[in-house]
Amino acid sequence: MLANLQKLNNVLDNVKPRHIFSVGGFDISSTVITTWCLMVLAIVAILFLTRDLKVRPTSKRQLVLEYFVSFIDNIMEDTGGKEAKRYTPLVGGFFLSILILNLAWFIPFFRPPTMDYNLTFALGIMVFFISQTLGIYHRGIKNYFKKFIYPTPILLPINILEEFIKPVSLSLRLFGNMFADEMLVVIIGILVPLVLPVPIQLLGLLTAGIQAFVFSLLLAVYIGEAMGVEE
Amino acid sequence: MNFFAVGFAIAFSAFGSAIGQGLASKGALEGMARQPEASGNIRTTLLLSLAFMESLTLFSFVIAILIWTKI
Repeated sequence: MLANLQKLNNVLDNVKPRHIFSVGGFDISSTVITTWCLMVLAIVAILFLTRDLKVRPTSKRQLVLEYFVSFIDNIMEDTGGKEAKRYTPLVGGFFLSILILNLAWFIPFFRPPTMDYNLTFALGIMVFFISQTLGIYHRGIKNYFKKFIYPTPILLPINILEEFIKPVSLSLRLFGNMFADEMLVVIIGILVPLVLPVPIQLLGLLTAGIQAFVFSLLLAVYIGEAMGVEE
Repeated sequence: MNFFAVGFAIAFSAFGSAIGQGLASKGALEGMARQPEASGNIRTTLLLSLAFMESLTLFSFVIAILIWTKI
């Protein structure tokens, strides 16, 4: 028991990404390696799934794909109107990649790359640039800047701050949820190594799905906002 | 001292967001029971608002980790 409690002291070392090697000053950590492996897996899986599609679906796998696409389509239509449907591939791509990254937890010896704040913050920066660019593209440069002084010019600093807080809170949410889940399982695994960690890790299945859904839902909301549906 | 700081940070933030999420779920459940045909729309909004409340607790979780590792 005492040895177990000793392990609790450096529990954070257990969940940190490990440094593998460096290329020209850049550190390649275990997060990056895991992401590469998952990329290969995902590309192979998607190539297999999208082989010989038919206009009238006869196979189960095409029905699953079409269900997924219409699911994202519905989200986009709810948040941004009919015109937002052209960004379905973007949001669907985010959803699938985050889901795959989260579910990497259930492959033995893998830890989910979304547990590393560097990765989720990169996703957050991508969301920031996507929403700003689409805002300029759809509203024009004049209306885009008008958005910042929308009710009154007094709110200008708050409006600008809001745009910068969005990606930070988005990435912190994904990171925090996955990190807290993993932390819980590691701590319970140290204290009670028998049976108990399994149902708690299965709870992670729920978290992975919900977090991927929430991330893509918020991305859809930001895109809809950038396209100017609220007026 | 750090033990107390970390414990209180998590406890207070969990307290607040638990009350908030309970109220939100209560409202959504009542709405769904009254109008089952609107449940899909309500569920999406509920998840969105739950995520926003959840994130405040997670902010304090991150702060707690920062205190714990003495950064």
